[in-house]
Amino acid sequence: MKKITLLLLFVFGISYSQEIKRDKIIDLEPSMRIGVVLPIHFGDNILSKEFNNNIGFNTNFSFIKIYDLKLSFGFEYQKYNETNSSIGIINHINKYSYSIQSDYTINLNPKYAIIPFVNYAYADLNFKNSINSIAKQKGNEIRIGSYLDYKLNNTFSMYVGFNYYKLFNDIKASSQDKKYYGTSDAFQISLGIELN
Amino acid sequence: MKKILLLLLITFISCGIPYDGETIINLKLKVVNAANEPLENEKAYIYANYGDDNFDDSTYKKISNNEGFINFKMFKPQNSANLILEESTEYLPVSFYGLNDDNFAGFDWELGTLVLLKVDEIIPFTIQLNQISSNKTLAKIEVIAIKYQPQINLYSENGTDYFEPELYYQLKKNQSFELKYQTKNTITNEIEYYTIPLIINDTAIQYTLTY
Repeated sequence: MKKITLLLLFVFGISYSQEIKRDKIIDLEPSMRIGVVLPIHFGDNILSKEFNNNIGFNTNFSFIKIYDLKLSFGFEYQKYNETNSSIGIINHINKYSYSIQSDYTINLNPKYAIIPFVNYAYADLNFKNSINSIAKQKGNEIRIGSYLDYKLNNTFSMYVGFNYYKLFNDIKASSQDKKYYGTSDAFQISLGIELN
Repeated sequence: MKKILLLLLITFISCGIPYDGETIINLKLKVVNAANEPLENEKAYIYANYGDDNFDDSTYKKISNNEGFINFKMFKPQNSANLILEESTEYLPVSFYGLNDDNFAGFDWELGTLVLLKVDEIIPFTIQLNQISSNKTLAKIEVIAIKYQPQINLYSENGTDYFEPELYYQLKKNQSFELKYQTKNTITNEIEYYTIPLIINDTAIQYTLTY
């Protein structure tokens, strides 16, 4: 009887522990980051050489956690003002990015955490004169970087972020123009708050 | 007041896009004077349609360099566009019509060399048609000369079934030139080719073309 009881306890124990484990695999854990972002473009490309960086706006909404990886959707707005463009008299470029992101939280202590992330975005670039759109481009973006979170309380955290950023615009041009006008590299610095 | 502002905003903001931002072309033109010398500082701009009643004429403006070249690195016009050479104090204005995919291939759109002329450098050349054979029609007329054309239509090379002969030209003074024409026999469909060498000096010419 003892053996049967032990066996039952063991079987139920395994089932119970498996349930707990399964709960941890996928977890609904909504959180939101809202902040500003400053890109610093570099290299031989149009955004680096011919446009000024402005502070942009960035938001990211996490809703699900798989193991310890969070998945989130994001939106970023960035405005580039012309300094001296070789592609026409353009007042500014508005860039809208719609992203999907995966990140992983490494808790350093109860207050600080490092959150490395990878991010893919679809980008819309809108070249404008003072009033109207004169041309549009579509592009793809990849970001790899990390946030540093500082927990203020159970709801709010502050964060600073740093990431590498690559933009690929799908343009048709001579091979030289394609590289100069169709790609860009940047480092981005971000700052904001996270709501848990 | 808000409604008026909204109406004004809707009126002035265009919905279409004049250029294809995903295609970059190099548009090139050389301008020279009647003595075939490059002209520097000649102003040109692109006039591109939004696809409705609106147009853009402020995005692409250039001046010719010391070799006479006007180079536009630009987004490809989405609809039809024109290159306008502004009237200067010396030279007469010229416009190219039909800057679009129908008339160019690839990313280098070459407009060749254009001779800019002054008002006192040109003289009229007129063709008077004189049909004597009822079986013949005029199929083509071409004046091979340095001439002033205020509007150069890039579509004109693409032949159409309908032919309306151009009978009035403004030619550069003091040059030898050729009048080429073709006649078509309406019964046999045979085409005959003719080339007439001519000279124009300081006097206007009215040429009678008999066919």
